[in-house]
Formats: sequence, structure tokens, C-alpha cells
Amino acid sequence: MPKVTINNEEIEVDDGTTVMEAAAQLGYDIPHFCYHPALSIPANCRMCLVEVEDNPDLQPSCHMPVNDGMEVHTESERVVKARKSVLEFILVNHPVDCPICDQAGECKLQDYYMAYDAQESRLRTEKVDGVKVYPLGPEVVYDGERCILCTRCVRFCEEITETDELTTAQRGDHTEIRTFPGQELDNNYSMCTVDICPVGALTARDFRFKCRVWLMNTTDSVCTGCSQGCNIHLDHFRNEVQRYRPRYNPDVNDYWMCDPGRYTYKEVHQDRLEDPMVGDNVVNWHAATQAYVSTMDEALDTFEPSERAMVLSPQVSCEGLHQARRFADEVLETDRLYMGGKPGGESDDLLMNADKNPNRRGIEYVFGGLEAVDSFESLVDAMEAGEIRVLHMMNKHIPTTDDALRARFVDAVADLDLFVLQAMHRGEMVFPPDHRGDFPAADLDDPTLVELADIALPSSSHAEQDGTFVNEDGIAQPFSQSFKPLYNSQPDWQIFGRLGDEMGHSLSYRRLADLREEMFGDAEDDAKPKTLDDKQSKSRAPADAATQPTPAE
Amino acid sequence: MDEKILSKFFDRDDGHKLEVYEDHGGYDAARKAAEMSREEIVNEVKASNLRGRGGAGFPAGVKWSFIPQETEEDKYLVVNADEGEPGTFKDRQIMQRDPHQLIEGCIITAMALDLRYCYIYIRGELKFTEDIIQDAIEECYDKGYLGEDIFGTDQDLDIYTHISAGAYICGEETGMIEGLEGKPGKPRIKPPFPAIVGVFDAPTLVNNVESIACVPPVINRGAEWFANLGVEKNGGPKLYGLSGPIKNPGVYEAPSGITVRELLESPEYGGGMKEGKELKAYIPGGSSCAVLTPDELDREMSFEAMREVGSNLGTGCVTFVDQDTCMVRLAARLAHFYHHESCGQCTPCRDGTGWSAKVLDAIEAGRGRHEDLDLLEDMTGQIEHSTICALGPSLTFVVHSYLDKFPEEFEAHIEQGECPFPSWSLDDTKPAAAE
Amino acid sequence: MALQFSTEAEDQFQTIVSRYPNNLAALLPVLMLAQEEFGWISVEVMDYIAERLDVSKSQVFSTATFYTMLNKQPVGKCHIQVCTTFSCALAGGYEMLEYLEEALGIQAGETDPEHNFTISEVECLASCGTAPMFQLTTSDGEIEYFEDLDPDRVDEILEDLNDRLDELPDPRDMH
Repeated sequence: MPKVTINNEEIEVDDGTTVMEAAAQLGYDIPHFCYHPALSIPANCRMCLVEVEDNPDLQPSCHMPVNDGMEVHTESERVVKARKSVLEFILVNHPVDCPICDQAGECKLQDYYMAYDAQESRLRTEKVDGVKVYPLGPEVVYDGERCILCTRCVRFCEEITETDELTTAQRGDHTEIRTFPGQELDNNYSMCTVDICPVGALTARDFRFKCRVWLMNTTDSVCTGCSQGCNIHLDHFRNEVQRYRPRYNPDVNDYWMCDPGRYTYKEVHQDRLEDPMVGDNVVNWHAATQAYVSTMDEALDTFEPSERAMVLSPQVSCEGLHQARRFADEVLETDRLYMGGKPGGESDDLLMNADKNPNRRGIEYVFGGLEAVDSFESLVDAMEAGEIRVLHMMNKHIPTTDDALRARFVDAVADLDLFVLQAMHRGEMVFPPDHRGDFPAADLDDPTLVELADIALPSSSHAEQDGTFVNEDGIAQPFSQSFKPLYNSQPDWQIFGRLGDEMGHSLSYRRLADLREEMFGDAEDDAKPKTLDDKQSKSRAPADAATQPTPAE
Repeated sequence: MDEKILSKFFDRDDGHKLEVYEDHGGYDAARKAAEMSREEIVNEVKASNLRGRGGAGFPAGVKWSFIPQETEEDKYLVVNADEGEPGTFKDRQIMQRDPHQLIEGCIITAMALDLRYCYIYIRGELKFTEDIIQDAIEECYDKGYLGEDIFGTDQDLDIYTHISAGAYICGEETGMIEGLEGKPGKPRIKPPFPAIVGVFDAPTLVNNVESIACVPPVINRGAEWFANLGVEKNGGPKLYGLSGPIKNPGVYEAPSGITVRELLESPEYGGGMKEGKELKAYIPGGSSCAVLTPDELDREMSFEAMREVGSNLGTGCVTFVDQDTCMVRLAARLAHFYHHESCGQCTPCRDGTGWSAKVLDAIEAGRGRHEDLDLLEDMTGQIEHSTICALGPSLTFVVHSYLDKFPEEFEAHIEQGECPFPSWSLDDTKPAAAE
Repeated sequence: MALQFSTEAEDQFQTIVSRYPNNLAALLPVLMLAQEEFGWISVEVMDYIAERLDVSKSQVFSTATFYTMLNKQPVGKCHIQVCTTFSCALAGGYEMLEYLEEALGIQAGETDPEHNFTISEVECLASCGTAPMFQLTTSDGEIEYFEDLDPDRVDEILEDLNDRLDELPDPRDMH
């Protein structure tokens, strides 16, 4: 294993380690634009140049492998001067329009300028004009003047999505990022190019001009778009989600997430069931709980346990499901459990799964397998056969695209003696309102369910609570509360606790941690989701971050 | 020089024909090489002190020895016929008038290094030479000089011409490889060097036209004979292109190490400056070399001698500049050249060349300030050691040497607020060419 | 109109492609051939070449826009490319360019309304010892160097070209 001396400090590293990686292990963060840990290395930005002894030219640390005995200086006067110069060269043709640039506040160019350049401009000449507000595709807008031609976006489309839409056109300082005329940057991951753009050249149509980045708070969360459970930064401002950005997790989503998943943040704010309802009346939680207790008490007296059923939602956290399990067991005293959730949809080979629910595996783990949970079709059959008279349903997704089955379900609901709905949304949502109308059309909910409910209880989204999802690969992933529950909603686990307590069962927990202690308690060890040894709601750290510091994105 | 080695056929109308070439000993060297071991050929080239004739002057034999010997995959020879260095026009003469010497050089090189395929990378503007070379190649196939088991050896060789489409940067060997692969000519980051990972990911030797054309005489008459035609470390005869306001501009064959004065003044070569023109400066080997003044006229045309004074032998094509020429304007014109030809992949060259051109334009137009001179020196200095290839640093040599050798001209522009020389137009406001 | 190489160009295309281990490598010579054949490199031509070579369109676009001899806009029947770099600048290249501009009534970078002539200012053409000079590309695909020029010689050349204009196709109409 080669030994290298970096800034007079010696370190032994694996063969093939680059100078930048070795420096990161010693805690030196070498500035860079074009280097990205998931992409090939063109070494074109020249920001990461370092001094290697006995080499007259500065060397790109992102590309240069460490040799035994090599002596490197990453912070010498010559290196710092070179960084300053590279920044100055970039700014020769950069508009420096930070006040109106969406990237301001999370811009590598801005950050490095403050760190290294920060001098009065020596530029007195005209800048090269570039294209402005150039739509590369339905999601991504290009600014040719801000572009520093690091080609991260081009390499992303070549190496990650392998769709090759983007390329460099022209040459020299007239080079710009382009698609072939008439083609668009329109793959399932196009907005990742915005994430990896180190400057404000690529912006997302959905987010541009929406919110200054320094105003936002960021919470570690998990995308609810499908069963992949991509780790995300949930950026929010004033109790409103502004955007999702992928959060690095090499076991789940690497640095990426899909565009449709990214748009699911809109579900947090659109068409929410805001208040508890009894019949057509908006009531407060106290009145709703009282109504629930009186009607359910009567129903429990009237109907056999086998006539009572519950629809579980794979959209809900493990904590909510744990409480659902106890509620069904202890309050409804029924083992008639059915699978709800969204119907399946589009999938691809990268991250997008057909199962559009983030926590189906969570049901499996909480209920110790899926044997006890019956299909939605069998629910409809049982309802039509009059076997079920009381139904408590979590979320109002109908897990089928079969219109006939949907209609049969709605008709059967109308015949129930008691129908309780515990849901985030009120009516049918069409997502998103503008472009890309095609993807969350999988969300084919029916507005009549709320109208049919004897009691409807508003539940909170994942942004409004702490919780855990178990993804398709059985990895349990905690997510954190970004802001308090919106409107009069409550997290599902609290709703069940409240109802259970009022029904005379001690179901509530004062602290979520207490619930988590019990959550997978009945499951055999090998049947537990991975990583749940750590039941704390700490964000799951990337695997290699725990072992070796690596260069930043 | 009494005996012409490289330009033997330049003055003959039919010099490009196989028949004529063979009448004068053509392909004897290839036959001789066929009897030699690979190692013997490489050692001969090493001992000949042949230096790369494309500008960098790397010892050819040493470069050859970087090509791995035993490989499963096919290895490639790429002949750099992308002549485009401003002031340079020598390779074209070989391509046009003596293609067989080039082809014979390719054959011997292929025998020496077991190179299976050869591409002659011709700049698009010199497309008319492609036909000449292609005809010569076909003559060779007809004779069995190319194809399988050439000259009784077990060496197979196919030679193809490849036509480029207008990019100076493809003269850089890895830019050329990119161009040969159908991509924009953006130089590759090294290592790996082409000898290990070249065109189509295979080991590749890239040599200049003149370098390859030197190989047959080296083999024919021996390394010692060739080396003795030149000076220490710079073997053989050399093609010199002389241009600028001199009496006899053109391409001349002369020994390596001849003095610049002899090239300029001898009636055999340049014949001196034109009437009424006085020498102010010369650039020894293409625009990318630092400018030198007449007090360096007695300097030898060798890589070492030129490096001693901070310049370079380059391609050996000397451009002479007369007293009426504005050095600021010349520097600005060259800055525009490098700006136009920058591939744009790495930051300092992409943005630094254009910036330099604009600052030089401003000075030339009388809008310069004294601090612009420091800016130019400092800013181009930062291009020098920070780029992927040598295009950006070439501009550094231009700007630094012009500033160093002719500071008074820059000062005069700034102080007088205008160019003190008669003008040739540098109107940058014209519409861009139809590219 | 769907593009199609003529029989002769198709033969050349096949010859070019046969020289390389992969199709992408044939791109530069094929684009040069396409320019000869179709007059200029339009998006349609790039599309056709991408399809013929079975390489990605963005790769063709990237390469076609990088190289300056490939005209992404139609030029005139006679494309006069004047070198003004270095030795040519020292030997009257700019004066000759101005003379040409005067003679043809267009500036460098422009094409006359009839699309007979385009003048471009280009970088070093490796003709430094015979400066001033220009390269002429005619729409029949010929590339020719004219060297050691003076006004009389330029007049002669232009006269010859004017005589040939009728037989040269207009690049705009070539596809």
C-alpha cells in the first residue's frame, strides 16, 4: 500500500487511491467542480490542482493516483494562487448574477470565491454571451452564461441513465450544453442534473424562483413515491415543503432519485383532509373521538369480530402500523386485515419501483409476515357477501386501477353499517397540476370515500412526524419531522392511541421511543428489517462515511 | 546541403509516383528492415538522434520504446498530418510530393513495433493531399508492400487515410486520437499515455509526418550517418519552412543545428530580408515558440540551443518579422488564434485565451492601461502549468516573450493611446464565420 | 424529404466505414462526405448520419459543432477561406481579405444574397511560405489552395469562378 505525504503528514492508502481521496482521509477538503464521486473523472475544471513535488505542472488531485513516496501540497501558496486564478478565469465569462440566481446559497462557485478569490475584479472586457432560460427538457432549464462546463450533467446522462441526451456543442468559450436539436432531456432522473450542477446553470422548473435556499430548513427524510425509499433532504420553509433532493445512501439510492418521486412532495400540501368530520359536519378532535367511541361501542356490541375489518396502508409509517396492529387486536378484536395503498405503476431498472407505496415491507415486519393480510379483492368479495359490516380504513387509496373493482368497492362501502376513514387526503388529486401529468396519475383515489365515511379522521404526512419506512430491500429507514402536523391532522400512531385510550384500552405512548422499543418485538431476529439494531431515530449514516471520509459531492 | 534526403523528390513533378521513388532506391530501407530484428530497428532509430519533428522534439526512438512489445491486441500507428501550427508548412510538402517516403517510414515503424494498422490523420483543409497519399497507398497494395506478410516478414500492415474537419487542437496527439475516434478533439488527460491506451484503447504510436519520413534514410544509411548530419542530440537533416517578408520564403532542407542566420541570409535558403525590410524578430518553430530578437540570429536550430534562450525549436519553421510590424498586434492576432482553437474543456485555457485576446486588443486599440501588462503576465502565467494540454501554455509563451522582448512597444501603445505602426485590420466586430 | 446518399457517395461511405473498427470513428470523414453531398451540415444531415452510422445523435451534434470546416449554415457556391494568421498577416493576408471583401461586396463571415460567394477568415492553412493565400471550397466538393496571391491573380480567380457559377449547385438546394 502506497504511502503519501500530504502537507507534511504521512498516510498509507489503498492502491489506486487518488490524491483527492487520500487528502480527504487526512481531513483536507480539496475544492472541485467537475469531480463527482459517482461519475467519471474528466479533470477539466482544474479547481483541484495540487502541487506534487518534482512535477513542474500542477496536477488534478481528482485524477492523479497516489504513488508511494509522493509528496503533495494541497494548501501551498502556489496551489492557493492557482485556485484563485481558476476562479478568476471562470468569472471572466460568468454573469455573477448571484442576487437573481436560484443557486445562490448552495453554489460551489460562490463558496469557493468567498474562500479563495474574494478580490476586486480585474476584468474590464466584455463577457461572452450565452443562452438564457433555455429549456433542455420539461423539468430542466439551462443558463449558458452561468455554466462552467464541468460536464457533470453530460456524464450523468451518459453514465447513470445511459440516455445520452446531453452533450457539449461548439468549442472554446462558446461551448454550451445541448441536446440534439428537437430532442429533450426527458428521462426519469433529469432533475438529478440540477442537483449535481455545481452552479446555477441548471435549475428545476418546479423550484426556480420559488424560495431562496438560505431561508429553508432541511430535514433528513425518505421519499414516499415508491418502495425504493430513496433517502432525501426535505427542504421546507414556513411549514411548506419546497423540494426534495436526494440524500446519499450507497445501499439505497446512491446520489439519485427519480423525477416522479421528487414530485410526490406535492401530496403533503394538496387536497388535505384538514379536520375531523362526523358525517358531513366538521368537528374538533374531542367531538370526533366521542362520536367514534359511541358509534364503535355500539358496533362492537352489534357485530361479531369477524364482521369487523381494517384496511392497512403501506403509505403509513411502521409506528402507525404498529398501532394499527394493536388497535385491530385489542379494540376491534378482529383478524380481518386487508392490504390498501396505491396501485402499482411505472418502473425502471435504476431506482423506480412499480410498488408506489413506501412501506409495504413495513407491514410485513410489523405483522410478522403478510400471511395475515388479505388482498383488496378478497375484501371487496367479503363486503359484497355481507360478511363485513364495520370497516376502519387507513388512507383512501384504492389499490387497483381496475375501474370495475373500484366501483364495486365504493358500492360496498355505501352498504356498510359503520365506515371509519383515517386519511391524509380529502378528495381526488391530480398530480402534478401542470407538466408531467402522466406520473402520479397512479394516484386514482375516489373522492366519494370521505363523503361515505361516518367518521373521517385527518392523518399527518411523513413530513409532519418522525417515523420509519422499510424499503423494498428490507432496510428500515427512519425519517424525521420537518414541521408540526398541518391543519388539524395527527400522526396515525397518535390517532390510534387516542381512539384506543378512549375505547378503554391503554394504547397510547407518551414518547415515540417507547413505541419503537416494542415495534418489532414479536418478530424473530432474522425476520426484522435490516439496521433495526439501532432503533433510535438517528438518520442512517452512509456506509462508507462511517469508515473513511471521502471527497464531497 | 548538397544531397537532399528529405526533399529529394520535391522538385520532380512525378516524385509522388512509386516508379520514380523506386528508381531512386525507394523501399530498399523497408527491405533492409525486413531482415532486421525489431530491436535492431528501434535501436537504430534511437542512435540516430532523430527528434520528433512535430514540435515537442521528444527523441523518436525513446517514444517508440514506450510501445509495449508483447500484446494480444492490435497496435496502431497514427501519423500526425494535421499540420496547423501557424508558420509551419513543411509536412504538407512531403504529403504532396513524396508520399512514398512517408509510407515507407510507416512500414518500417510498423515492422519495428508490430503495429497492425496505420492511420494518416490529415487535416481537412489538406484534403487534396489525401488523394495523392491514397494513390500511393494503392500502388503499395498492388505491389504487396502493404497488406499481409509484407516484405517477406510475418508483419501485417494496413494504412488508411483519415480526414479531419478543421481543428488545430487535433494536432495534439490525444486530441488527434479523439478526432480519429469521431469525437471532438479534446485532449485526454495523461497518464495513461497513448503508448499504453491510445486509439480504440489500444497501444498507439503518434508520430509527425516528417519524423516518419526520416525513418527510411536512418535505416538505409545507418544511425551514425544520420546522426552526423546534425548536431549533438539533434540528428539528421531537417525541413525548414521560412516565411515572412524575406526574399525566398519556402521549405528548405538543411542540417539540424544550422544557424538561423544562415537560413535567413544564405542565397541557398531565405536570401535575406526583402528590400527595405529590416529584421526585428523571429519565431523559430511556429507561433507557439517564444519570440527571439536579431541578436540571437547565430543560434543553432536545435532543441537545446533554443531552450537555452527560453524558446523552442518547435517545428523548425521560422517566421521572420520586420521592423514595420507591430508586436502588440501580432501578439493579439495569435491570442485570437489560440482563443479560436481552444477546445474549451479546461477552464484556464477556455476563458484565459479569450480574455488575453481582449486585453491585447484593447492595448492595440490604444485603450490599454499600464496595469494591463501586469495582468497579462500574471494571468497567462496561470494558464501555463494548469491545463490538460499545451495549447493554453503556448499563449503564455507568446505573451510572456512579446512582453519581455518588446516592452517599449506595449508601453508606447498605452502612452500614445493608439498603435504607432501602420495597420493591418484586426476588426473583431465582423460577423462570425459560417461555422 | 428523406436524405439518401447518391450511389457514388454511398460507395465512398461504405469504403470509409470499412476502414475503422467501429462506426463512430468514421464520423469525421463521413461528415466531410455528407457536406460534399448535401451542401451543408443541417440538423437533418446530422440525423441521417447518426442513423447511418448507428451512433447517438448527441455525439454527432457534438462533433459536428466542434469542427470548423463543417458548415452548420449553408454557404455560397464558392466558399473563400482567407488565412490571416501569423505569416499570412505579415505578408498581406488582411490586405487581400479586404480586397476580396471589396471585390465581392461582402464582409468576412457573410454570404452574398445569391449565395454565390461566402468569405471566411480562417486560421493557419499551412501555406505560410506562399502567403497571402486562400482556400476555395466549391459546392461540387473541390477544395483548392490559391497561393502567392496579389490583386491581379485574385481578379483572375474571381473571373474564372464567375464563369463556373452556373454549373455549381447552390448548397441551399442540395438537400
